[in-house]
Amino acid sequence: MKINCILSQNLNFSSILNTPYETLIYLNSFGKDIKEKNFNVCSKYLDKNNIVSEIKSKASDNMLLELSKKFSESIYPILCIRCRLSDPIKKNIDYLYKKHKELHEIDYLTMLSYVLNDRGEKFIKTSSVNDKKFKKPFNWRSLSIITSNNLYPFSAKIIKTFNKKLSSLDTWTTHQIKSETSLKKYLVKCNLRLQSDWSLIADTSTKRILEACKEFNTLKINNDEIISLHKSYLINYKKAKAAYKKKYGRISGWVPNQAFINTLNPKQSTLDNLECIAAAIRKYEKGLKSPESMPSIKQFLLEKKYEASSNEDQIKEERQIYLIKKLSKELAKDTLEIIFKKEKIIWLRDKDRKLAWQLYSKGYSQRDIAKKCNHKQGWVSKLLKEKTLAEKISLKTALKLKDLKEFKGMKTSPLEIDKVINSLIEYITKRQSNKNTSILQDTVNYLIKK
Amino acid sequence: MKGKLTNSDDNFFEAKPISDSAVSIDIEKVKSLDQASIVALKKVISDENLNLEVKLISSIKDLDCLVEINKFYIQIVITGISSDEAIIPLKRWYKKNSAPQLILAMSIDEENGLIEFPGLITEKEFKNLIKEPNPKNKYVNIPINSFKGGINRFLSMIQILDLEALSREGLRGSKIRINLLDNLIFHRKKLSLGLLILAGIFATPSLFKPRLLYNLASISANKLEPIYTRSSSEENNIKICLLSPNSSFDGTKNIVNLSFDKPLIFPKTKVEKIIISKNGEIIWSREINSNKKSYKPIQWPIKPVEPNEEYLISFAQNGISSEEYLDITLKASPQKSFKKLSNEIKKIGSSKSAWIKNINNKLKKEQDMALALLFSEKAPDSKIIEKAKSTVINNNKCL
Repeated sequence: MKINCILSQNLNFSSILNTPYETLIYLNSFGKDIKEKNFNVCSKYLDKNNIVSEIKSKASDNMLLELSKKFSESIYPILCIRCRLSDPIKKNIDYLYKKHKELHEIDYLTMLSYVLNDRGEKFIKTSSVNDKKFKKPFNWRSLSIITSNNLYPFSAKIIKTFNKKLSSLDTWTTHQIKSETSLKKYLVKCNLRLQSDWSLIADTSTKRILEACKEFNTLKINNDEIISLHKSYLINYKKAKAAYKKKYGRISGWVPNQAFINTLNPKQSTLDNLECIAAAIRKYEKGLKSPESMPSIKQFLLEKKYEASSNEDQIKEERQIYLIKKLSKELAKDTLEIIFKKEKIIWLRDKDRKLAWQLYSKGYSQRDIAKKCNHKQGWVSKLLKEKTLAEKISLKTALKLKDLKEFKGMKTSPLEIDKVINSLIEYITKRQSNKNTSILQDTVNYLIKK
Repeated sequence: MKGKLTNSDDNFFEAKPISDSAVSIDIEKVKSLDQASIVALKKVISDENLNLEVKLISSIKDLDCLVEINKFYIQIVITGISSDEAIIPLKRWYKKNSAPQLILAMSIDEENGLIEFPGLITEKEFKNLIKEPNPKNKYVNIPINSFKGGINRFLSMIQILDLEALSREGLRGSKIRINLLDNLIFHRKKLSLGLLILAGIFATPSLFKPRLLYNLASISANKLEPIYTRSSSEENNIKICLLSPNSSFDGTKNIVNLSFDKPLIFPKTKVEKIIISKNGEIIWSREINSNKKSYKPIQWPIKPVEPNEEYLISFAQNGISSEEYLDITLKASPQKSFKKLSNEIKKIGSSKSAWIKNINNKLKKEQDMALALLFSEKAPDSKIIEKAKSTVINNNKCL
């Protein structure tokens, strides 16, 4: 609730609309509040240099960047850019938060703390050879000599790596946020993964890229050129990634630079085509249905029904059913008992977890459990992991069944294994006849009460 | 329906949920993606409290690796986290009786240190997916959604299936060989029985000539498998193509099951030195100074091999560390099935047509013997045999 208030309050920042190069949005040092600061020194600097400052523009961005390089000792042109960057940084996080807050337990202010951490200081912290930290004026000269990849604040990283020939400042900001290691690590803890455009392009097949570009008609280059561009991208991305990993020990954080762009074929002057390709892939994949992972169990059961079965077959089938019922219940208990031993210790300090399991055992849906526990659905799903549990139990049951003569077919046929495991998963997770609960839920209920 | 990306679409900036079965690893500590895949697999096995050992057999860094778990040979193919296809290196599938039995897809998110397992394909499913394997292709792309069942299916298969339930025959052994035989059978079917009998009676060298040359032109040398070491990069490994003796990779070494006593040593790539040793003692060695593009066979240089004997043939290559050799183990068959080349030559006699027919017949099942006969000093003077020799010498196929 609190987070939402802060978010809606700050959507009404007015001064940033008129003075993007003078007003800085930042998270205060306690990380509890979003503030706005107006820098008169920036207003004066912009006026003195005749830079249009009422709206953000490419011309003003470029002018300020040129001035910061030309007068590399001055902190003012860079301060203007830092102000200008704070708005897109915040907007990106707003978007990401709004998109995922319903299902995942993400904290808006924590997310902001990784990227909206420029409070307009005159100095930038840097490290010397022996790792001693000291301050330098926040100007181009300092930025250009700092070699660390962990530049702080985040805006310093954007400014240092930005190349006006390759991309716009807003798009570059988004790229940097997508690549920011600390934000990515935080999101992984919340069960979300952020993927940069660069890794997305490398992962995707040329065939899918062509399909995506055809669908969204995004590029001005033809299919042959797209194929060639992707091919050269893959070769050079691999090399660049290896060099980056050698230098920084990780791949997260890599963004293309001019040297990388120069290696592409056909020759690219900007990142526009790559950015369009990435956007097309994301949109294309959104429209794809997730593939069926396993063959339908119903079909298997139907096949069985239509098979003419002899009396002997019927007895065999009845015995198989009996064995499945007996073993799956036993193994569900065994598997869950191990989990519940640890879980019950956590319940002593986290009552919500206990409540969630209790509700699950009574047949509540994940959505309802989330509501009653005052958590997000993602939290419930991460806690219960129903599918994984069912798979584990089914595998353990199948391992016991394989040694029985009724199931010897599993030892020689992968198809038979698939069928047995799928049947088991369905058997333990579907609602039992005349009951509101599944075998898995009943077992959980038994273990809670035990 | 066609859509256009508008400015509002620029904000396609969203995170994706992490699957429940994803494994998190310290990606900064692993040197290569194949190493990451082994770490993840071991983590899954340990989390499940399973008593299974993961043995790395060989690896093409960042693309795939071959592991042995519970005696099953599994090719792990590495893809990106959002890949829609997996690239399967086919080299392993052309190793006769040493091919993988399962292919496990592993999707790695290098940026976040996450690994997901889309699922697996059994050797049979793989063969059905690539209906017409072409030995010239080094890779095949398989849609990621062809890999079924996640890690659970993989753990089920390796713990439930009998080892024999999945073949290690590979692609060459099944489809391609069958195609060759099918073709022969097909041609014979076209002929009437009378014609076939006639052909048998009046079989002349010229009748066999095109078939012998065709068959010799279609044989290929075997690319020897280097034993993978973490320190050696793929580029620095010795790469040797060996036409005879014909070896297979059994997962740990290159091995030749020798059925006769005097095999040719016939490398089809430049080698610097060849050493024959037995029980750790060097018996014969030769430096080879050849700058030619075609390579000639070396007649078995030491006393004929006896049944059940074991020799090691080691090859060194120019430009590679002098300490690095590529070895093949020569294991002679037991007495009962072991043949002597001289006896075979005696049996054939001096008829040119008998030699050609014999070599041609042996090419199907005893390729090493066929080549030893073809290059034998006892082979009769014949234009066809000379042409056949030159076909083999100039044949640079290597799989």
